[in-house]
Amino acid sequence: MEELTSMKLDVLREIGNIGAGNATTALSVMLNSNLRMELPVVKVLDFDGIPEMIGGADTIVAAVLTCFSGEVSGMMLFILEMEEAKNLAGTMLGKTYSEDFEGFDHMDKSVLKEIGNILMSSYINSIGTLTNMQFRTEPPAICTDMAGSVLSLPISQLGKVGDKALVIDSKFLDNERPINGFLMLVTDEVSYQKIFESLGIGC
Amino acid sequence: MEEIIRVGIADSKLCKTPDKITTVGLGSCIGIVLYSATHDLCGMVHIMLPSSKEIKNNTNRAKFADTGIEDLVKMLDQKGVKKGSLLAKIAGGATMFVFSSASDFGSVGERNIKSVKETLAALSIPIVAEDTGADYGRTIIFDNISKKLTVRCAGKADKVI
Repeated sequence: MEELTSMKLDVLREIGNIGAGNATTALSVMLNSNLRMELPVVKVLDFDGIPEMIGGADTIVAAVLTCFSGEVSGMMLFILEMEEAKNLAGTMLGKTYSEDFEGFDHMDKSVLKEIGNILMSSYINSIGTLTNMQFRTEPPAICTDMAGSVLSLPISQLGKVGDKALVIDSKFLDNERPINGFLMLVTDEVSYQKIFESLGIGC
Repeated sequence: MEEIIRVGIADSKLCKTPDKITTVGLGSCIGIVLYSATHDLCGMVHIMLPSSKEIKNNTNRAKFADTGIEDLVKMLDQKGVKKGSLLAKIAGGATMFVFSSASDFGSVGERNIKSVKETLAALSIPIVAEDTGADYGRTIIFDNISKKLTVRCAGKADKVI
C-alpha cells in the first residue's frame, strides 16, 4: 500500500469520525442509552492484525456484514465480542441470556442484523453526503463464530488488492465503558482515490 | 519441549516432529497440510484466494491456492521430503455469510476448495482426509506422529481426521 500523506490520513480519520458519529447517534437513539464514540484511529495492519483487534483469531464474535456498490464499492463490517453482542441484543429485546447459552436464535440474530444495518447505513450514507456520491447498500448478513473465520471474507477481499489492510477503527463507549468491537470499512485503492478526488485531494 | 507452530493468514511453515503445527480461525480460507508417511517433517499453508492468475498483486504467493501449495511442495522438497511421497489433509472453505441478494462474495470458500483440489491433483498429491465447506469456522492442529488432523469448531466437539 502506498504511503499515505498526513492530509489523506486526516481525511480518512474525518470520514470515520462523521460516519461512526452518525452511526453512534442512530444506535444511541434506538437503545435510548448513553453511547459515545472515541476518535477513530486509522491503522495499516497485516491481515493477522485484524482479528487481534478484537482479542485474537479464536475469540468468539458476532458480526454483521453488508456490501455496498456505486461509484465506490466495498463492504462494511460491524463486529462484537460475543458477550457484547449478548448485551446489545439483550438490551434491545429486554431479556437476559442464561448461563447455558448455546447460540443466538432467529430473533436475536434479526435484531443484531438490524442494529448492524442501521449503524452501517448511517456510516455509508454520511460518506455519500460528504463526497456527494451515490451508494447502494445490500441487505446485511450475520455470522457468529471465531473472529478469524468471520473476518476471512473481508480479509480475502482486501487480499485481492494488497497484503495490508487500511482500517478505520471506530470504538464505542457505553456509559464510558469501552465496547469490545468495532466498525470496519473495507474498500480498495481505486475507491479511496475516488473519495479523495471527490473531496478535492489529488495524488 | 514440543512446540506448536502457528501459521498465519496467507502464510506457510514447516514443522518437525515432535512439534505440532496449527492455524487458527479458518473461514472461507483453507488450511492444507502436506506430509509423508515416513518423514518427520511436514508443512502447512493457509491460503485465502483461489488463484494467483486472477489477481495483479500476487507477490505474496502463500495467499493463493495454486502458488501457495506449489511453494510448500518446494520447501518440503528442499528439506528432503520428495513430492512423490506427499499426502494431503485439507480443512476450511466455509461460507460464513449468507446474503439474501445474489453476490459472488459468498462463494469464495467454494472456489477455494475447487482450486485446492485441482492444484493437488495436478501435482499428483492424494487428499487423504478433508473437512471442507459448510458454514462454520475451523481451527486445525496437525500431529505428524499420529498423522492426524484435529479440527476444532466453536460449540462443537473436536473432529479428528
